[in-house]
Amino acid sequence: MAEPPRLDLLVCVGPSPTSERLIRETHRMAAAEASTWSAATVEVTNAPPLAARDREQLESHLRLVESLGGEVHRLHGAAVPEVLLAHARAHGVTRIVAGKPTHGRWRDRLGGSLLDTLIRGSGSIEVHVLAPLATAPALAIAHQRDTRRGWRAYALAIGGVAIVTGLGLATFDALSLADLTMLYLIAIAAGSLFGRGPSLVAASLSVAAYDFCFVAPRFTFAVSGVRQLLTFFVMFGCGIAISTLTVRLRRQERNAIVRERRTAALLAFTREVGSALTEPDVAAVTARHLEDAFDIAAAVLVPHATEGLVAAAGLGALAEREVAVARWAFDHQEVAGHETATLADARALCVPILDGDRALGVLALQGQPTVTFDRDARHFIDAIARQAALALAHVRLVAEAKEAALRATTEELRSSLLSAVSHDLRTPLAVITGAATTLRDREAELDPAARGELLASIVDDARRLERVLGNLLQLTRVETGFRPTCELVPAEEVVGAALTRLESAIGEWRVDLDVAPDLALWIDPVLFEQVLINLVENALKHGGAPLAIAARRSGDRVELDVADRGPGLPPDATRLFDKFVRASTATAPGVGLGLAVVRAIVTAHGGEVAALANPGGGALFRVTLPVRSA
Amino acid sequence: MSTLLVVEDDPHLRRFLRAALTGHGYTIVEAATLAEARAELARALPAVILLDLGLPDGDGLTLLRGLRPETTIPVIVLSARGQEGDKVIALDAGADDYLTKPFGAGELMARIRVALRHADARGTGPPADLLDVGPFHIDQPRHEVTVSGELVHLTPIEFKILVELARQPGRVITHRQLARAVWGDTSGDQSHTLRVHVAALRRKVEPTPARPRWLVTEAGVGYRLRGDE
Repeated sequence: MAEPPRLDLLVCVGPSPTSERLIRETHRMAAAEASTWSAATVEVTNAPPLAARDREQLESHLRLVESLGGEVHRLHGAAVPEVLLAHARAHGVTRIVAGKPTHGRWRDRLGGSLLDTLIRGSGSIEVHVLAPLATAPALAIAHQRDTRRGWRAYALAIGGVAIVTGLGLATFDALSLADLTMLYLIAIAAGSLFGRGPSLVAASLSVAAYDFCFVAPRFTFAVSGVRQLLTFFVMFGCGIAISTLTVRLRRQERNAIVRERRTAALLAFTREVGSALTEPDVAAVTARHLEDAFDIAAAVLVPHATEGLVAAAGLGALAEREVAVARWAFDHQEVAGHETATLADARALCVPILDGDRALGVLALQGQPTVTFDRDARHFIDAIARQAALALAHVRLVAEAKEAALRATTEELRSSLLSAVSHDLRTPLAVITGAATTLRDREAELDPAARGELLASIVDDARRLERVLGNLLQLTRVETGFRPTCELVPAEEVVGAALTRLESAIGEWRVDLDVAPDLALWIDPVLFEQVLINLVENALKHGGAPLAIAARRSGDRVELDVADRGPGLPPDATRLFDKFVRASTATAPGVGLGLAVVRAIVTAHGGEVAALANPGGGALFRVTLPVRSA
Repeated sequence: MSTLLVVEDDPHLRRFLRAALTGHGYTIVEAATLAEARAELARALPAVILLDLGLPDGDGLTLLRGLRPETTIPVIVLSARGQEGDKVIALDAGADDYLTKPFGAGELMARIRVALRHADARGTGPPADLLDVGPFHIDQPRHEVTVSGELVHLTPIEFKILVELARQPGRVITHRQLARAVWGDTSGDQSHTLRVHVAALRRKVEPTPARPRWLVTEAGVGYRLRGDE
């Protein structure tokens, strides 16, 4: 009867490295909103087959999809957008995730942009376009961009020299050689701003052009005097000096930016990992921050009781070999894998998470084989590992403390249970056994009144036993970490259900009801019924008629009162909610578990219970619950 | 008189059931395991089955699922408090009612009577147009309900809920069974919406809705419309 599985998100996958990020981003979106996702790749019929490297890339992307729990669809057709849209419609896809093209615009002009066609034909389907790098530029691949910018720098340096030469040729008659030197120095200075290489090119070309075009004898490379040599020397010197300064400045600037970005990333990580409460949370936050910082796959592996090291979060496509590297890093407490002294041919870089002399886990980072981690990146990873170690150690301590507390509660419960069994459960059993054996052995001698008395005590004490056992059971369940399954239940219904079950016990007692008709409680109906039953039974046992049950909303809380007109509370009323405490031992039987159960259940609902004096005499028990709407 | 099949592994409880039930004139067939129960069922069909859920050779639910939908023998499930989830599963799987251990003889007899009555009613053709339960008189074709002679105006959903409960007076109807009767075969969890409608219905038919006499709640399981007993 469940709805047919809907594939909300569809990610388009290709051989481009951007696909990896698209897949992770889609997986993250789907996980955040608990929707389903799948991936599709389109093979265009009549298109030339993919190069071996691209095919391998594509397959690794598809493997990544599968490892993240997504479904892979391989489609075929004449044009990518049409095939994708037809597939999306057939599967009820609501959103398509695609990457921004990385190639230039000219290819779109020729072939028509895939994205344009996709968006134009999408109709009711949303198309999400992700930029190749939406986050801050990755720390590790900054050098790639430098080289690309380099070609333009050389072109500019050469162009500058050419312009100056042209200018010089045009105005040669009006200028002296010294003026031309100045002009060339400007070109060299400009070239030097782009780095050492362009500076040297600009200087060499300037010297050559100056010599060839302007120094007599003109249009030869012959040099006629010491002055000219000096000029050449000054030109080179200026170029080298300026470029050295520029390079140094630029490096400092880049380092500052990287450092700043790293500090900000670390700060964000520290803040987030500090609020993680469980080991998987810490692992997830760590993996995500590493993935964001480097735009690669990251995993956090932690030791598992039986299965060795397992990935606690950020499971990329970690192959067996990578896990073996992680294992080595964990065992030897040393960095291993990609670009390290140990197992350098592995694709993953594994950094142990160390807390003192104890390894808590391993960070595994794995990207394209070309990704390199420079010194800064390694420092950053080390810092992340240190913070992750602190966080892991912390959550482990917290978990151990919680476990110890639970064990202590269980221990306490066990000992009180023992005392209850040995003392309080035996009393009703004694009554039942005694009465029943009397009836069996001496039935003939008993008069009808005595027989009725014995039968009544058997029934009463059996009920008492059942109550005690029921309460013990509830108490054990709630106090040993049982979580209530809450629903929104009308207050009238809960009160009504409890009163129905107590019908015979209440008998002729007057019960005044004042329950707000449209009041709803966010409760576990079965557990909470026990709260009301115990409070009413308590009032029947220790209080006096009439009973009054009221439920109302008070600000952002709901108050539920059970009041009686009896003798009121004993002096130390707060102890009433402790286990095995009885208000008036002499008059009423029972183990004193009822109110302890009330408190345990109410606490498990995030509420409170208080024993108050009923204005006008008697006791009033007030349960306060937080309000929650559905 | 009627033959009852008791499927219960505890010999003491069986002894009590035997004594109590034969004392009321019923014939008892006993089974301590699923296998014995199947053997008994193959021999002769009883009028009512009392079924314990935890049996040494399996879950009583499997026996129940094997019986439905081919047979309509009433099945009363015996279970302990705190197992409301199991009760709901059993009822949704086709059990007619449940008894929470420990139970008194009076309660046991009442449930068996209700089950036998429903088994009889099932045989007698189409459901009646007029239903009389306790103070309720329901005229289905005219969509009219009177409580103790007074006409009550119900919304269509409230009417459907009341009819569903009144068709099987004394028997517990789970949230899911009620939701299916009211909204058809729906998959979503509508227990909250249902609760709101039942609360509204109660306000119209019960003098004190927080202390209902007729339309009672079985916490965590469902609702029951009590008859005259």
